[in-house]
Amino acid sequence: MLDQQKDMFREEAAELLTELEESLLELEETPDDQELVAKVFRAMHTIKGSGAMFGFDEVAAFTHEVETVYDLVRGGTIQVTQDLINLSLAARDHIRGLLDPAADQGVDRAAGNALVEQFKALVPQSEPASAQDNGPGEEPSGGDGESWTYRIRVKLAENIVFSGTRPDSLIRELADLGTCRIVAQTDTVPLLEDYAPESLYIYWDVVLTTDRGSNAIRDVFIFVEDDVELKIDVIDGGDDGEGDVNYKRIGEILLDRGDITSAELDKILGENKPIGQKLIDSRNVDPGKIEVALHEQEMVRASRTQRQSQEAAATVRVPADRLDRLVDLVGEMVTIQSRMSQTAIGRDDADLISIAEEVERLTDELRDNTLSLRMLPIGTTFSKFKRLVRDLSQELGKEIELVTSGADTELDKTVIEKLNDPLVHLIRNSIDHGIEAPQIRAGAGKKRHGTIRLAAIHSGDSVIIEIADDGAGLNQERIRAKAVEKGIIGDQDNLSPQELYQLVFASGFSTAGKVTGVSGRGVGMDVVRRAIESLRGTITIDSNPGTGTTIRVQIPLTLAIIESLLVAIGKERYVLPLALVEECVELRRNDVYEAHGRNLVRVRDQLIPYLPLRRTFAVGGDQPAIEQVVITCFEGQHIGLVVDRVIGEHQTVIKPLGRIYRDAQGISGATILGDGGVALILDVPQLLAGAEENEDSDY
Amino acid sequence: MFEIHRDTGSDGALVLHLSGAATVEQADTLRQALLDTIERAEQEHQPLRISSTQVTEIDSFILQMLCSAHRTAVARQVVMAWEGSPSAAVMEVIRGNGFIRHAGCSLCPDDQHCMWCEK
Repeated sequence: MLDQQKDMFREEAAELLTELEESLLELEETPDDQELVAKVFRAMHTIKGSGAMFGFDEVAAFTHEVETVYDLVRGGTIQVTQDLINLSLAARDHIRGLLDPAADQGVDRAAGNALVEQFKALVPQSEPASAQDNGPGEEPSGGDGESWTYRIRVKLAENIVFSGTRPDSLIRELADLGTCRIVAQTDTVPLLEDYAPESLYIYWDVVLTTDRGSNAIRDVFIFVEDDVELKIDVIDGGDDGEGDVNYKRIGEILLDRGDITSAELDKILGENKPIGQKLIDSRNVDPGKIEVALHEQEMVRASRTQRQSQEAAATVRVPADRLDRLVDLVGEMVTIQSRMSQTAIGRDDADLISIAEEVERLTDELRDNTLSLRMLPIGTTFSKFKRLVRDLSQELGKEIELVTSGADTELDKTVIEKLNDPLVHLIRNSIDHGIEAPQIRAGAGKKRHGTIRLAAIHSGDSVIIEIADDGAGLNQERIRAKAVEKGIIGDQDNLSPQELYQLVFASGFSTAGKVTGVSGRGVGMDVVRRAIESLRGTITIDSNPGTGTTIRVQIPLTLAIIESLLVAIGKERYVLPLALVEECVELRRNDVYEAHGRNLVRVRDQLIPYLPLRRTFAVGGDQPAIEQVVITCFEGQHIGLVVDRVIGEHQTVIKPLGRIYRDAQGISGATILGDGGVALILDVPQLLAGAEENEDSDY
Repeated sequence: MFEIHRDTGSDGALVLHLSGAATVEQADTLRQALLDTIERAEQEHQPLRISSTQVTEIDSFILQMLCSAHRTAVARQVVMAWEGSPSAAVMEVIRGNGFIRHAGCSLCPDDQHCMWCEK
């Protein structure tokens, strides 16, 4: 159980650290942003508190030092500087290291101690060297949607009536700010003989839960500022009391409020009765004070319970492997459903067909919902790159800004994970080779600081990720010379700029003059291409000398289930992604004859090349008199794939090919059909590339 | 319009009937009426009851005065309570302005019911 809780804390802390990194990087840009300072403080505060709760004492102790400094930043004693940001980012990395389950082996504790010393050195000598646990007591400005509970005491001037103010309307206005309990304190009301009829003797204690902030409370009394004593304390809200709905005891609240002394409380606590009764019996405390303490206790508990249930209702943490298992099961379900539909149609039973259709509808819905569970916004990856760009550009003495867009574009969790390394390579390349040093940029009439734009765009069943820099662009001559030197192309080969750029993805290709710690080993782009292709994606480069390079990565939304077209050649069946299919046309023997044996089919006055798959895959048996050409379109290029029959649309649950078949050309995976048979998934881009190569070699 | 009318209940108690708008503007009149009635109740050893069934409006100034009257009555050994239930308008202000109590104040003897305790 404890291990489970520890894992949960690790996950939560990892999220907090990601947010923290983002906040620190933003704070670097806008050092005066108090909201960001508060955000950093809150993240540290939560990591410290929860860390201590789950036995991560080292994390708690370390974070405490950082929190102390940010408490002083919050109070204006310490300024946000570049050094502080650097130090805080290093501290963030150290905390991440400490949270690693294998921390004992890998954490550099000496570095951690050095960081602690550096943070301690930032604290002025006169300041206490520890952060105040002042969650309650800080005054949120409101507007962030979070509810806070306040303890408010309102004492209006005795002669308030002469200013024309109606106390009742002020109290009503205060109550309208949120959920509230009001207690009029009457202990100051005199006997009638001493009573001045127009004087106000009572004062109010109010417990208010609101998301409007303390300024809204003060605003209620804005016109009677000189006639009111207003005391506002935050007693609950934000991250405080997280996970624990219990609040202080009545005695503690009264002590807090200054309505009883600790000596009086100790004396009363000695008696064997419920505390409320003891206090009333003792007559040491006015019942009005006990009343409001009870309200306070009740409201804070209610507010915490509500917050907890809202949090519980809003998200449920599920281990990723359970989701993967669910997706697998849905995959099986889709296969069985397909079998059921086929059987129903085969038996020509109207009732069975109707049930099969219903099951199909439900399965489709189940599939979409299940797949959407694994979708995550790509922004989580983007935030890591901000740090990468910052650190690398500093290391290389360059000035580079990373601009991101489309961070909320969703992709399958597995795809995002596998996409991380290729994107790191691409961004590193942009920083190292793309963007020039500031003085070179200035010399070329460009801004000193370069920009890398990282954008994610949702497009049909894929996501396009673009990495564009405004650097020097690719040097066509150098690429050509390198490719010739490596024997990738011949000396006389005439390649278009686009074809030349694609050469950088060749294995062992690198034009960087020297190998740096960042890039230039010639493995990066090759690895990138393979990684993207393993995600069934594509990568293209476009570049303009002097103005920059744009790399475009297109990847499918999910790797689990795709909509496809099922076709047959002889007894073999194949599927191809429906997204690539444009139309199907017939191919008669006569058409082949008229094309003089060339693999071209005329579709609405346009000649489209085709690939006879029967020949490509060496399928035996007789060729039917009328074949089908499935016209596909990939990156603007049309190609027909000739098959015997088109069976129809199919939900394809992708199964990876075994290690032996991994390098099979033109095949990207396999799927199990409704009848238990296996169909291979065609890799259309690879078939297209293969066809182009064959065409070239024919000439 | 605010009116005060005093009569005697079947048990001999003095009943102060308040009606209309009981707000700070009437505080002086009400204070005098309360003082006079408490004095008479003390002399006659009779309880005092306040009827607010006809009150259409009330404010915190009047409620705090009733609190003061209750304390004064207690000090003079006069039992003071509501005659019947307060009007809906009065109850709304009692609740809205936080006068409701679970237990009477330290001045309230055990045998006397606080004006602000809900029955």
